[in-house]
Amino acid sequence: MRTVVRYSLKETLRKRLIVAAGGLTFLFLLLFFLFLKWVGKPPALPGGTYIAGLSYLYLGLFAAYVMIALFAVLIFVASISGEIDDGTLLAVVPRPIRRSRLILGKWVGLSIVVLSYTTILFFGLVLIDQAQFGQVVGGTVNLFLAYGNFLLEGLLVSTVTLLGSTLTATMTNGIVVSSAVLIAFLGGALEQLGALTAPGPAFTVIGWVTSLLIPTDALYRRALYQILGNHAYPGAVAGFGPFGAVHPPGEGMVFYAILYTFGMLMLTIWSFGVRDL
Amino acid sequence: MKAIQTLGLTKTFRQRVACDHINLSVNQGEIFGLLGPNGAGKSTLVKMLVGLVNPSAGSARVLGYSFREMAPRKRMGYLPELFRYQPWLTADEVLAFHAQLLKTPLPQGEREALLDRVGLRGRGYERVKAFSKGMQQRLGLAVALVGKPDLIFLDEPTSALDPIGRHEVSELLQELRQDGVTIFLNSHLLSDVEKLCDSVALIDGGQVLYQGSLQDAIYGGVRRYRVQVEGLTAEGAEAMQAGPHAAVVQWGAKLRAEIRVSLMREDLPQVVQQLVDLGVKVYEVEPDHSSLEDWFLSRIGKDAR
Repeated sequence: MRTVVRYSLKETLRKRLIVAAGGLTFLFLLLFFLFLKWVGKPPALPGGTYIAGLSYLYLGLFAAYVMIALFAVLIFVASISGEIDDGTLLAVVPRPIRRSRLILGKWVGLSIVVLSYTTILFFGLVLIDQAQFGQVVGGTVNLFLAYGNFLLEGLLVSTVTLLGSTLTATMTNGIVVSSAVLIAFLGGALEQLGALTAPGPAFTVIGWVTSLLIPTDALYRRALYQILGNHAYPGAVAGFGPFGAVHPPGEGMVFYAILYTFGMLMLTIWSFGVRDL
Repeated sequence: MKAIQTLGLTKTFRQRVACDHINLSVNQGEIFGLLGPNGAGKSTLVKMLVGLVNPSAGSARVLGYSFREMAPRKRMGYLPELFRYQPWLTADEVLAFHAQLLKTPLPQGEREALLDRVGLRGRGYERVKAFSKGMQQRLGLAVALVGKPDLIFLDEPTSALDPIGRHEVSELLQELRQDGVTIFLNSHLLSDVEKLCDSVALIDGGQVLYQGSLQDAIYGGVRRYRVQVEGLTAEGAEAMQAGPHAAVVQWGAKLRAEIRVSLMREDLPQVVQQLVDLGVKVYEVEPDHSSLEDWFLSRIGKDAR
């Protein structure tokens, strides 16, 4: 399995995926930094600096949420289907390595890349934001809880995409997983809007259903909620509407996401195990 | 112990039966040729034996182990019909990767020797993406040889090679046979099979139509012979025509004649003896040209192509 992990990492390096992703992330963080620099600090109103810092952090984290999901999809989308299509897997599978080990090796190797990307993006955004506006996040524990949710989001999207890669063609897989993440976001956004404007069960149910289908949005909103802790300025979170977390998912959703990821990984191993190549 | 022994190996893709209760055995140290028209089930059979396709029913033993175990895979190599190797690796790294999958040491010197053996001397440090199809197929052969396997499956191993490359592969396979390696060759190039294989199996529609030695396949059964004689009398010709082999006599000049006779190879001396007893001079006994291709066409039928 270690051989597969090592060569999966080597592949991302050789294909310059890491260089390209690193370069674009640096560019994104630079733009975020310049943006915050140019918008400057708000007038000295009570809590103004904090609300501005929180607003821009939420904006950055929304971008991070989308970018992490996209990155995970792009890294994993052809990991199996692409190698089946081009034939490289046909020479590897007959070797004395169980298919489950092959899948786990790919999963570990490529997940390391996704999690590294998530780490750089998440802490880059927080550091730039706090450098400009002072402390916005609740504290170290809050910061790492939110970070954990983003890591889990990356891992979850990676695993679902890997499953799709054992089941369908590359393009179909990419479209399906990207759409699922988008639908989950829309469901979550409706749930937040419902909590703000029309408190009723319909919007909440939509949010639940989409979160059960793929809990990426739940993790994102849980991270938005957790990153603040008790540090939140009263009423600040409500101002972000569908991009906020006025009605944050509970802890149970995080456990669900962990179980979901594990279940998807088991399903991937089974799916690849029974697949004819 | 047989190198390969299959028992009722069957694969069904939805409603279509690709392999239907295949019973085959391959002796150790021989070159075995698997023949059949397109869609006969050859590649599916090979893929089941190397673990790429899960059989619907039946079993197989490879090198004495169940084909579902990992143990035989440590001692076998495989060149797929669709041969592609990681384009982002060098040829040398591809060999190192496969050695690591086999958990067998393959020092640089041995990697170079392997590349040299398949005609890729000095190309080890080039990325595979720069390789032509023929070079990739040569690399595939080198990959199949990693770990000094006892059994090699080759699925159309010369499909992308020029005549020189095909000749080199033929020589390589003969060397491997001398080393005691069993080779399972799936090829459409009947001339290669005829030249190399000790035994063959013919499958069509997922079923085995024939399995046996190549000699028996080509020369077994009834064949036509032309016998050039001199001094055959009319009575002698009548005797021949009335005989059990339904000889046809075609007269030439000066009592010369060509006798065409269809018989088993074992009966040939008896016919020659009969002619000699008739006082006929036998100048030449020539079998009608027959080849694996003739045999293949006669068994499968031209419609199948």
